Amino acid sequence: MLKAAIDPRWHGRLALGLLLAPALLWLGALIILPHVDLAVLSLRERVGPRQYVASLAQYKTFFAEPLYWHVFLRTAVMSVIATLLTLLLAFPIAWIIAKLARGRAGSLLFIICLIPFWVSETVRTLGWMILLRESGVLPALLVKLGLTAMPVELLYRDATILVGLVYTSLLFMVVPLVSSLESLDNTLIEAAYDLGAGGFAILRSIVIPHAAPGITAGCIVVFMLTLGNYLTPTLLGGKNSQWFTEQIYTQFITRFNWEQGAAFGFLLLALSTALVILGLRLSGQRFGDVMRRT
Amino acid sequence: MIPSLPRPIWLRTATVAYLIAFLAFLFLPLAVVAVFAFNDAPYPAPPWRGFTFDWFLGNAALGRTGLFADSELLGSIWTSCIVAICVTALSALVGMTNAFLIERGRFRGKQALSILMLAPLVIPGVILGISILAFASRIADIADDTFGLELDFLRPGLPLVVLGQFSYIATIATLTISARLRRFDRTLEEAALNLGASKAAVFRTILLPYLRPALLGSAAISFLMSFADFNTTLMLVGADTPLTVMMYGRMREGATPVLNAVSLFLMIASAVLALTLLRRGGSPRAKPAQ
Amino acid sequence: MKHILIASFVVALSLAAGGVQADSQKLRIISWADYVPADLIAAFKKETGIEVELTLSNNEEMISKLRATGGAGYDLAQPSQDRILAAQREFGIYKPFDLTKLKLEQFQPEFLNIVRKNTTLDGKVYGLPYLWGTDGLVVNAKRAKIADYPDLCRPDLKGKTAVRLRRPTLMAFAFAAGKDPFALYGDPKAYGALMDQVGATLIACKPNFKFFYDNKDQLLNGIRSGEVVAAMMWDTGGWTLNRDNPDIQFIVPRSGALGWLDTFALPARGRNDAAVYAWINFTMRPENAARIIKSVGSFSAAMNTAPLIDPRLKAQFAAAFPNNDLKSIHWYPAIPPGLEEMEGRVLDRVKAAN
Repeated sequence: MLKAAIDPRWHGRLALGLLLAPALLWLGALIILPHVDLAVLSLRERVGPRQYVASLAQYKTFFAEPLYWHVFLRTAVMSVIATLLTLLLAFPIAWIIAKLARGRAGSLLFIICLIPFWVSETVRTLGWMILLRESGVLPALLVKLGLTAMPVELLYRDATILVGLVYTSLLFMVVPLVSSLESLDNTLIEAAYDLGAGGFAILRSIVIPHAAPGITAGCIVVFMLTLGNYLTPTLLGGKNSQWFTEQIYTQFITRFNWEQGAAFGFLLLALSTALVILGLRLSGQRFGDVMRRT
Repeated sequence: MIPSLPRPIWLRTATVAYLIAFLAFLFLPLAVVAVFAFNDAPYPAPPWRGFTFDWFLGNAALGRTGLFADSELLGSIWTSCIVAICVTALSALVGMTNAFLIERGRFRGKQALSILMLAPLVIPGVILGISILAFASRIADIADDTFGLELDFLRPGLPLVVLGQFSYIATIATLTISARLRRFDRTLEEAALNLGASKAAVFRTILLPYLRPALLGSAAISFLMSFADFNTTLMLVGADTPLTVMMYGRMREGATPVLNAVSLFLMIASAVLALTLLRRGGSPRAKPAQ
Repeated sequence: MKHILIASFVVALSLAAGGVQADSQKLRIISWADYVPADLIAAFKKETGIEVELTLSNNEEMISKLRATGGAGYDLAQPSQDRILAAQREFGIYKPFDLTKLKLEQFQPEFLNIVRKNTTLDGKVYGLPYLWGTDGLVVNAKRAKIADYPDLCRPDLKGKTAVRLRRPTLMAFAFAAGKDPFALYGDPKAYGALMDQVGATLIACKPNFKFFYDNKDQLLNGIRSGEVVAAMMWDTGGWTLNRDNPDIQFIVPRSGALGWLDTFALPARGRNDAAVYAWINFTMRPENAARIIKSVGSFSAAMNTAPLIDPRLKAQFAAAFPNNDLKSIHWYPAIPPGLEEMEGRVLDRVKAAN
């Protein structure tokens, strides 16, 4: 049955068709057609009850109304910052796992790092809310230590959103970093050291070039997940979250303005695609290889 | 730098300090969630007022609704389970056919198709959700207007939630299963065929057992991802609410510790699942909750 | 392995199908919190054998859910009276009532007329009155003194107040600024300018808001824990809080309270209209209406409930509206289409402001 797929005779075609059908159905009915439909939806405008005409009005609104592109830019910039912070935080732990810890200790540490991510994001965010809210654990601790006179509200700040985003994204950075660092030959580092290179030079000219594929893969995935996140910014950011996915949700669900929401969706998709392509270009890698790493 | 090179004492200390801080950062949120599930107070917040099981066992008579008496929460766990089972089964099946298609099939456009299969991972979940919502309701409207057919499964509800989650979880299943299939030694299969085994027999007795770890691994990941999915689900839910959406609603209201209780329950359940999987030698690196 | 997968899939599918299966003995209601008390559901089941399945929601969500389902999924919805017509014109999500199947004599004629006027399209009636109440201010009198909506923006209340980021807030702040937004419904341009002005006020006020609340419990928890000391809120929420803590009081703002009136409406593809009519006739009976009043604390549009109402609630109402003075209440007229989009943009701007 399976070898038949490479068999030129008719039942070979049949088998190929059978294998092809689920894939085409999945991609066609759940990915391609819905997105084409979304594009069509975003390109029309309501002119009267149940009357629509083709127009670019939804996109015009986006550019004409400062708040929409303001939120859009803010989401993009915060996502970039969150990605870089995640990289900075994840690199040392990946190094410890891949290079410093010996034998079982390394894989044990690796597993320990993965455990929190088996639990859903909702639960993790609940934890941060209990820690940071005005009546929460950290503000109470700050008062007890005499650092603040009154409990301070630590939720609803940009820094809080970043902490939440970095926390949620860590895993997707650590995994590709560890696998790319593991393959780095220790003797290269030793050689460089013997030749008199300092720690920083080794990092710059040996470690980073070698880990580049892992770094790119991690950054791309983290950036995408951050950009498309909804839960963490809305819960930790509260009234100040201003995340673009929230605008999409509002247009769709609160304002029942699907046309506007569809246009926003496309803009977000365009942004995420553009930055992924940019990331690949800068590091000279192929999309398929990157995705398989994570 | 590496163990074979001399490391100054400050670097060693810094490394250890970093490691401790990192692990604290990692586990602090989960620890508080677990601890406050047992706090004898109406809010999951300090101060500590004593130990209680109320948030698990409480009922209306006690004036506190514990997890096991909260029919809304229990119902949403059940809903999430049904959705996750459907998504897991669908993803495993499609992931397997896709793996054979990509690894064994020869046809024009294969390269393009295998790239396209990765696309769902790059599309933000919210957008997957709205596009499926808009498309499904367009189809349902057309069916209703032209044929007078009411296709309820295309309206927001569990069937759409299943499809929405499946749309990207299928990619992960495909990647996991085809990675294993790629390493399969084809001579085994040829030998069996030469010895007169039918293709079906080869599939059942050689390929399937070989793929088993990948199938189990991808099933576990699919289940967990489906259970934890929020972005896509939020846009597609109807009257039945899965756990994540229910928890989100309650968290915005200012939750009672019953949410901590349900979270602790989830932590234990996923830890058990993860450990069983590790024992069986499955890959712990597989991608968990988004 | 494959067999197990297929088997589990079939099982799950049939379970899921069972969960959503139509049942003529089931009435699916989408409504607000506390509008449908559990004891009433039980009594209704005992009387008719019909089981009530309840989904809690709010105006926007009700409309958007029904829009997404084309009016399917629920047999009865309870939107506010001013939100029915525009949604019906735009999306066709409701179907008209067959008034002959209802005991209209159970309704108070004033409310019946307001709702009829605001929900009639092409001679057909799409809404019937259910509960009414007012929006005003709730304050912890021990910690703050306020008289009107703009007081929520006073510097001494920074970070301690809350409003909903929804249209009632826009209306309230417009009235507080001495304007009548309802008079401008026919003039979109002037209305847009007024909304822009209100938006600017709210943006300037934003640092004062602890949060924008989405649902009752969020605000109640905020006030109970003391994180919020003053908020825009509906009367009964304030009265409920008042029972637990006498410091917390509902006050009618100087610029007047806003009167809301929630309704019964039939989703276009509801499957159990017979049960809906039975339910409406059942809930509007004086003794049942009194039970509902007790559950939500708001007032019913049903006749003859006065003797059955909790005297404490009556006293609270009399304290807020002395001499039964309902003239200061601004009732919402039906919104003409297009205005909500303008309001939406203003609300977005407030949300996004720093």
